[in-house]
Amino acid sequence: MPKSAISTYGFINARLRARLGLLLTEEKYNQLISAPTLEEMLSYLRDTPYEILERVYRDTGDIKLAELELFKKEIAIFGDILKSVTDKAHEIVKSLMMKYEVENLKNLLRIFFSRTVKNQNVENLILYIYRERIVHDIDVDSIVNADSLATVLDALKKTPYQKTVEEEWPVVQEKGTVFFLEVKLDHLYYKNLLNMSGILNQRDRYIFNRLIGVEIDIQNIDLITRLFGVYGVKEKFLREILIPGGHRINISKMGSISSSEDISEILKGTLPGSMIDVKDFDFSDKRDIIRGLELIEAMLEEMMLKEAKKALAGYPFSIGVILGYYVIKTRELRKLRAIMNAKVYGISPDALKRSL
Amino acid sequence: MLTESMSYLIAVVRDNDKEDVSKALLKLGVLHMVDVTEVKEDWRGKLAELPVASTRGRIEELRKKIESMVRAIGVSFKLKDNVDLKSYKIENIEEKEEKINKIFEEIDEKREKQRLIQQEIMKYEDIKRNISGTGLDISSLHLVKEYSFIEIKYGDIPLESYDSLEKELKSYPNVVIPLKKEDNNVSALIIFMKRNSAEIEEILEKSGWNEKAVPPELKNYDYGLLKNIDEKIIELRRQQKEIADEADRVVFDHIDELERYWTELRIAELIYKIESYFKRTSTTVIFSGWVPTGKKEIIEKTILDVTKGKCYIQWLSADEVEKIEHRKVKVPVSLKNPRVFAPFQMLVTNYGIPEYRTVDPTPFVVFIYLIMFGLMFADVGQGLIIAVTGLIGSLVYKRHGKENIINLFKLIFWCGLTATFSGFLFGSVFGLPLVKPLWFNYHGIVLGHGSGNSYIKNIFDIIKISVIFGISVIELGIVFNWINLIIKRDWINLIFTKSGILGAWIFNGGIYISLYMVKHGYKEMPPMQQLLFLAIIPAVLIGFKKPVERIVERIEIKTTEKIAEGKKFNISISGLMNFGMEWAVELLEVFSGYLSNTLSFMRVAGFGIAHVSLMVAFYQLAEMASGGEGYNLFGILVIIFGNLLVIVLEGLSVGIQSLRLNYYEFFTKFFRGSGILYRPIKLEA
Repeated sequence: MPKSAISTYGFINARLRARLGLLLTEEKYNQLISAPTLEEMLSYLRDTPYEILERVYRDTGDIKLAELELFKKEIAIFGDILKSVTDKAHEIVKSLMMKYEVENLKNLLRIFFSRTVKNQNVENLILYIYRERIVHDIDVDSIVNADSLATVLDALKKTPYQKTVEEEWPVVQEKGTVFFLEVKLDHLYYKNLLNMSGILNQRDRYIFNRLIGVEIDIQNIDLITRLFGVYGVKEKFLREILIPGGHRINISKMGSISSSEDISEILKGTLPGSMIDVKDFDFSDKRDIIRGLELIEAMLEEMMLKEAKKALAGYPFSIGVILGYYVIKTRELRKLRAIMNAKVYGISPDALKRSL
Repeated sequence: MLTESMSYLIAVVRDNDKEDVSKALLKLGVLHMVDVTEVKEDWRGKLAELPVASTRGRIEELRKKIESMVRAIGVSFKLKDNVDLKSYKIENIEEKEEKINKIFEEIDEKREKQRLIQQEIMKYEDIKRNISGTGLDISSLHLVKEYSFIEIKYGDIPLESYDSLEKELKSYPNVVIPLKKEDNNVSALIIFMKRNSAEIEEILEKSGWNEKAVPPELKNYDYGLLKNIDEKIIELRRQQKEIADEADRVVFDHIDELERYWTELRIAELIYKIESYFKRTSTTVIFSGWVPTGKKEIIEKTILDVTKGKCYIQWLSADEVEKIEHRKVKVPVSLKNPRVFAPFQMLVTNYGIPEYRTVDPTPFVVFIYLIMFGLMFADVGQGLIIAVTGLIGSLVYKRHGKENIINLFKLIFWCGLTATFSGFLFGSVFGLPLVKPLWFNYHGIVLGHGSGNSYIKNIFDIIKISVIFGISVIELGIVFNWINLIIKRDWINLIFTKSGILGAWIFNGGIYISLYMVKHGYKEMPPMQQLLFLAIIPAVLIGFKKPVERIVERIEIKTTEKIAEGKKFNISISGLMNFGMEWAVELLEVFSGYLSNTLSFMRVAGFGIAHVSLMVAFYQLAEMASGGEGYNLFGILVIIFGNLLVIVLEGLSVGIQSLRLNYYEFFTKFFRGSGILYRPIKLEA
């Protein structure tokens, strides 16, 4: 007999709502941002769920290790949620956690690529690898020590990633970059995630598609920004790399980008006029286009947070609570990571505030 | 009872005296500074800003850097009241910056050393993990070579190259185990990751490595490999810890100097802060701010002394300022309560800052909160534990100086004392009726054994007490609302609102009607003329709020000649419908609101009963666990666990319920939390 929404979401709803109270406050963010040094920034994390970061840094002087600790913490948070849910919610959380697995796998493949194709010394990267199981069994040591693709594929045999890596590796070798393989892994993650919506009821599916859709929009804008900044826009493969399933942004329009003029058209046409005043932009200027894309990304982020808050404020026994918490918590962790890095690189509080 | 009366100071002093005046104001620490042009808008174009000192930003940054340095080692500085401000002058900022940066560099160097050691540790851990994972056995080197990520080599190296070899290998995870020394050579075993084979072989070749087969006598040698790696890791961690301590010591060694610098910088900042409110003419500076009226004399005397009488001082009352600015300027609110009330003031300010010259409910919250707590949680033993916890907590946190946490522990202390006192009233010690109740036996009532009090016989009597208490609290809230509205001369709201005269009329009428019905066995209502007077007349009158407001508005508009602009009042059907709707909603709000507000206090009885029931249940469980009469160890553990659970969980929920009743049933009747807090610039700031 299928479980009722109350038995599926009742317990996790209460737990997550209690945890919402532990989120960092705006006042705390201001403290963190305006801290003049990394040490002070970390000291402000005392009495918060992130106090371990200060301890790690003071004990080891190694900020990368503190970052790894943050990654572990993130996985532990959602691992804990995974343990607290059953049924459909369990499957959804598992699919969401694949994001971390994909990120970790990308890292592993970058190491493998640098070591075997580029012949670079990657020892200092290997030290900061996350080695525990996230969702699937991945033999991490085999990948970082592998001398051939066959070993990597063997290490991935119990995962859905094996096929993608096998298919895309020739592209990696041809282009001399793992970027496109990473994008394909993202595609796989989102495809799997969107497929999961099929197991949800109508109300949950609506919330789920909206939130994941906006996240895909953000990813797509980010991809275009990165491609535009690094490779230029005359890349034929842009159509291939954009992730389908976005909520607000028309992927067919975006996929046809072939020049900076096209990007300006996208800027003008993709989002409603009220969200962006295209008159403020000079589309012949590359910086303005990037500024426009960043602005759209910021607006989507804002929209995402609003959707998440809406989901949290809505019917409590739905997937909305988990997704809302997921969105808010991942943003908190991302913000924290950005603040930490800004302190390492000596970025001023004002510049940091703007970029956040 | 009302927030403290405030006076507004406007002072004009000579430009030459501005620094001394700033210092004197800081020392005195009573002036809540305000930009004078906020009140005197017409001065805006006539007065110039004081130039901002070029060092201001650097001073703030330097002060924050020092704070970050000492905060990391758990130290925080505070300004002392006895600082000599007269001779104070900030000097040598460059020197200070240099010194602080030097300390930072020293710390950074230490952190870098720690980081390098950490990388070494992680490399050893990498090797160790791989060795453990493959179950390495030295005697079967070939197997290891075939199946793991590890590679092992045995060979000789010239003694003079040994140290440089170890150094060179540091970039890669490896373990070098020297086994024997012969002539000028060292025989050693090297274990490393296969992935680094090419690089390591190159290093070995450069070092004059001569690879050999493992001699048979070494095959049974106990290498204690993992132990060896563990020892290296332990040693590295020790070194790392030592360096971390050294980094802390760098700060500790300079702590006095840092405190001196910080004090100088902080004072400079505060003086700049005061001066940022100064406006100037060609030869004078003008400043203004709010002072509690009782401190008018002392501040006036101070300014006169510092300027030797060469100044101009004007005082305005809060009413006068509000008239000038048509209530646009907010008068800061100073809550003057005894220090002992601080935890309860915290509860009030958490809800909001009361408006200026309205009722400060703090002294009443002390009693209402504690009475509620005592009625819901009455136990001598548990109360004492709570009180001791609160006392210890407040003493521990006193050292860290976290005001809110100290106040929270003080609140816990007060709650504990109240619970103890109530425990004596109701005769309860750790959930057992061990002492003779001074009022009535709560246990007896809940268990149906009688209370020992002829007036309170059953649970309904307890509920009656909590409802009577609730009605008193609501009435008090209504009275406070009247006081606030009379002070503000807000006559319409005084008469026509839920907590106004008509609302109170309906509330008290409702109480009378309820009592009448109870007295007549719920079968009879009061006579019609009584009902008319108690409920119907005020219910009709309350609907006239809007029309009265419109009439008053019309009179005001006539006097300000706005009617000439063509704005006229018409009575329309939609207007009448709105009037009717608002009337109905208001009535619904009054009737249902007061009913729910009153019944809400039944929780006081509910929690009290639950407290007794829970303790009884735990003692029964303990008896069952002990298997009969008396308690064995297991039974005692159940009792201890039960008491702890009740202290923590029930203590918390009762505390929250008391707060909730204060906020939602009491404060909502009168409290307008839109005030701003009086914050003078002072040395403690």
